[in-house]
Amino acid sequence: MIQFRNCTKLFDSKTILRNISLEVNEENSFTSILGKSGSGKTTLLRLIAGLEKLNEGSIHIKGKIVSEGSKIIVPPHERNVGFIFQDLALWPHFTVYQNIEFGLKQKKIAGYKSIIMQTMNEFGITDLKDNFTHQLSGGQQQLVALARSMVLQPEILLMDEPLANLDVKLKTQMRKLIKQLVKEKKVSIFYVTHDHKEAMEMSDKMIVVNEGAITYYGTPEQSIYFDSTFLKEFIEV
Amino acid sequence: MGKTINIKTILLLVAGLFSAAIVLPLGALLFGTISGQASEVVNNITSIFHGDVLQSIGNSLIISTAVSILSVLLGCCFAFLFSKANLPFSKALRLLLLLPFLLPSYVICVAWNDVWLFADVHRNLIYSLPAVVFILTTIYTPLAAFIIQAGLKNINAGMEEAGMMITSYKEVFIKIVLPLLRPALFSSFILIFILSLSEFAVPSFLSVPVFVTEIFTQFSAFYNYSLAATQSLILTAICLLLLFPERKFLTNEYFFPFGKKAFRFRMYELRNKSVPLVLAMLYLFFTVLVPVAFLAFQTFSVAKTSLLDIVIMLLPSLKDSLLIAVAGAFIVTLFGFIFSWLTAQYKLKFLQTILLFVFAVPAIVTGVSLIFFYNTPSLSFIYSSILIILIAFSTRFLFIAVKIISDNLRQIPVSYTEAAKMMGARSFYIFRKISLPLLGEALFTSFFIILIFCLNELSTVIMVYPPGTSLLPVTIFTRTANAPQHIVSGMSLVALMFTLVILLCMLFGKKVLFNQQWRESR
Repeated sequence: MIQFRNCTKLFDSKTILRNISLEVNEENSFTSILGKSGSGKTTLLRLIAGLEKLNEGSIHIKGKIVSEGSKIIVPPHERNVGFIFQDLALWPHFTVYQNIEFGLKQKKIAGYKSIIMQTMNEFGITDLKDNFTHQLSGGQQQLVALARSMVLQPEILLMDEPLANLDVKLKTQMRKLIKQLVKEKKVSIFYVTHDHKEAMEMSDKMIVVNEGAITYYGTPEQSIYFDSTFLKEFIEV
Repeated sequence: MGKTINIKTILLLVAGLFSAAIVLPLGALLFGTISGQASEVVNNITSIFHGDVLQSIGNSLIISTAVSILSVLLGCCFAFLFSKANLPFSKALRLLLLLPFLLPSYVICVAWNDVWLFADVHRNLIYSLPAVVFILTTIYTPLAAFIIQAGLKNINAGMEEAGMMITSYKEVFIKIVLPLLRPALFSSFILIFILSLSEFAVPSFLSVPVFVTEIFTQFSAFYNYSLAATQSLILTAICLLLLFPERKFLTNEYFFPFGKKAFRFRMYELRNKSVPLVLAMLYLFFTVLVPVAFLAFQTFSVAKTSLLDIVIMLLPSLKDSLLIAVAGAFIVTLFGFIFSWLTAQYKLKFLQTILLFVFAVPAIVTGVSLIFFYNTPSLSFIYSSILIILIAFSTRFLFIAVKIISDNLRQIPVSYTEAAKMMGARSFYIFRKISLPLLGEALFTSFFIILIFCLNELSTVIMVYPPGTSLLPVTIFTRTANAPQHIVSGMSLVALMFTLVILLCMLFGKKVLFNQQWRESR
């Protein structure tokens, strides 16, 4: 589904990702991108989204080349990819309804009003439709961010540590909801986290990034037996 | 994609041309001065060591140093009282403190002149260096308070609280708060030093010879252009030298605390609020209300004077000033936005540095350079029209607009526009729907602040205003020499009321236009 071929990414002269090659074939699955702070995991996610340009290599989504060298071949909005930012990026001057409406209007989808109502209903946020985002709790904001992305029916949903600021109880609820999304909406999730326990618990597959290279790609269960000192230390085996 | 590139290219081109219009005159002045006859250049430079010129330079430096020190000290106290301590009525007091900075300096000067003449202060004291220092301190204290307040608001409460777990607040203030505040203190000192060094109206009105008035005299009275140009460059060199080590602080510091606070902010409960409150009120009463009251008193003390007559007399100037200032504020804000946007998009930090250097050039020098550059046959269409005033306004105030807008632009998370991009919104749509509403308040504030500055600007426009244009500051300033005292006071009172009306419009407009519910969170 997603292929990285010899991808290198530099910021100024610092190498963030070094000659990465990876193929993720599982559809409708939950893949965690795990690593320490500054390891390059968010950059990996932003490269899939098309928000960053590569320096070398190419990225393919569903067999189609989307980025090559320093060129963005398919722009972010044509990749059919959703993105949940770490700060959620809910526009403060829009209501909940307007936040969700924005993308549908852009894509000129007919009958979008009923789609919005249906999505808000599914996420249990219908009552909040006229609220501004600062009037919502942390959990409600998460739901709006998810609804805003999912209303566009993306095939891939990229999530950049979206639960980092939630308390334990809310985190557990949101994790359940996200897992449910994978099943019901048939979406593949790439989920950046630095919490190995969260990754082990939620993922079908894990990508472990360390110092710009991919140390491990496989199931959480197999990772315990993988021969890497870094990985063993990181996941506290 | 191609369309986007075109818009960006056009914006870069426009910004480049605009920069050239304001930077080239200064470059031409420099080149013209050093490329003159060697003997003339040497003569001009050595002339600064002559008694009178040397005294004027000395006066300029004494005034600037004293005003900077006093303004920063007072500004520090006010910043602390208004932003860190829960002082009652602080909103109203803050507005009152700001007033002298927003009013034309010649108006403040005329007002103080009225106070001192009424109090029968000896003329040697009124027309003296300490009087200039006093008036300029009341004018620039609000600026220092404003910058230091922004610095205080950017100190995370956690840093102070961590210190308070270990030692007393006094120690925390000295060892933690003050070092963190150092860039703001340093920046306000340098900025006020440069501004008071360029101040023309106050020393000129009080007949205190300073370097700026010396340049003006050489230019306008003796028509010694080459000497005026050389002296301008010397004054500019002093300002730029001061600025050079400080450019890092000045370009990166948040001057204007609009928008939401960056961190959690710690307030302090004063044990006794009444003493600082009374002191602050006394200061504001004597430095703001008393001179304004005397301006009115002096105007109406002569039975024959009617404020309406003065307004009618000044009507052409009021009309011209307002129209030109509105055009100036619009252009400066528009280009302020373009420059801020380009700086953010392409990480062109040098743009702000260039604008800072242009801003630091004394106003009178800006005037001299504009005359040298635009008073040529090929560019006379600019020199003989109001375009020259608009260029002068841009040279003087573009940096301020860029500061206000880019500080706000920096506070809009990149993820907001990226999220819209992910959904297929085009650049202009993202700008219209996301960036513009979030930036609206900053653009509005920038427009009004620049409008007030344009209305009050005297030092540059007195040198470049084209024939047939009647500007309020120039009209009042030129009439101070031969009009009776009560007429001068009356004209100053009109200028004051004019500025106040614009200020009130700004406050009212802000309340009406930016009252949306979502702004409560910011």
